[in-house]
Amino acid sequence: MILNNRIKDAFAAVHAEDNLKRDTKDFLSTRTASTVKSGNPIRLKRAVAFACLALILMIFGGWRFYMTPVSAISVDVNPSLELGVNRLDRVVAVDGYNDDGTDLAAFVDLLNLNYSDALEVLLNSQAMQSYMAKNDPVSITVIGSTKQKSEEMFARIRSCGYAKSPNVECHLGSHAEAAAAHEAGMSYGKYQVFLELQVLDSEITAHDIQNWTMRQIRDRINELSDGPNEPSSGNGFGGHGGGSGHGGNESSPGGRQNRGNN
Amino acid sequence: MRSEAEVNRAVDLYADTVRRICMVRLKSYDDTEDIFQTVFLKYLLSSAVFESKEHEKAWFIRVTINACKDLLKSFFHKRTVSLDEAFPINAELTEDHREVLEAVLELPEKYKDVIYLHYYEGYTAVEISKLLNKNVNTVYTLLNRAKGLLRKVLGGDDIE
Repeated sequence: MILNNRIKDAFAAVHAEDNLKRDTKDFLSTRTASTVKSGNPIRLKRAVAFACLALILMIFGGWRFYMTPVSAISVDVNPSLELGVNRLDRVVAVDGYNDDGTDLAAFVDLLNLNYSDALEVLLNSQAMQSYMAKNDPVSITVIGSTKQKSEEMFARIRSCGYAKSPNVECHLGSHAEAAAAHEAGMSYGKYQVFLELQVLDSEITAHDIQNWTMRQIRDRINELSDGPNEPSSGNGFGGHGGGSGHGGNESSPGGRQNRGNN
Repeated sequence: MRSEAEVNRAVDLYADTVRRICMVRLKSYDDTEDIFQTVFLKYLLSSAVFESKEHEKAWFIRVTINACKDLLKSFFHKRTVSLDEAFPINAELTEDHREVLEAVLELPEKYKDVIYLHYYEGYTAVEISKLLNKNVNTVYTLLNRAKGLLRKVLGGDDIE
């Protein structure tokens, strides 16, 4: 017998034992049952993918929920800034509406603080204290997500020590007015004082007072309120319509005030 | 995943092939049981579509050889066993079968697969090179050297 055939015959005589085949089938049968019980692997993969997607959406949704401001607190001294407050009463945005406000927003870390604590930190900050020391009027305006929320925030702020300072004024505002203020490039508090001034000086524009401080606007209001009711264009202030008067010039209102007082 | 009926058919059809490779490569019956479970479980979970019986058989041969390699690489693998454990204690084995199989099992590891695949399964050197992912010339060399070693042990010049 040639060696090739001997090798072939020898291998051919080797068979898998019956018990080996039986045990293997039993093992696979249990695996099939457990896999069927645990579900179709494709469905399982889809379920896992869906769960991951849901988790991502939850995280993203949670992040958006946290990061979306629904209320605002406008703080105006000379620095004008607005704190965006989320549904959890945490400050999630600090926007400066003039150079001082932008500097202050960058300098004082208010993010993620409760709005009441944030105001305390802000008003006690070194930068703000320099304005407070000059008795500059501080205007705090609360614009809540709802009327009830506005009142709740307003009451809470009013109860804090910083709100009891004589030169701090607290106001309630509305979203519509806040939108108009933002459109005019001002914080809510400054916009309100601007509107007050506009009643007395119909020709003055938002652009004119863009760089005025709150004190300058208030002084101008006082000047127009206390002085004779002369037309603003005729008071030697330079004419608002032409833009060559007090627009952008911080010394102008001061000059007017001095003249008025004199 | 395949059905239980498909897997049972595969066990009936390819168990002998898997067993012979296990005999050539492994040294214990326990390891053979492990390989059977591994190979047929892979088949159960595989979504591979086979064009023919030959294609399916080649898949089993390749998967079994790889499973054996993985098992032998395992740190926990029992490395030394008696020859009796490796042999299928099978009533059908004659003295001549035992002599031939012992001679094959005594060959260095690298020759065993090519001898089995060439002389029993009838694969050519080119086919073996594809199955084992080896160079064709290497397969020719392995076959020639294995033949020479078997001739020395079993005698005769009639091996092709």
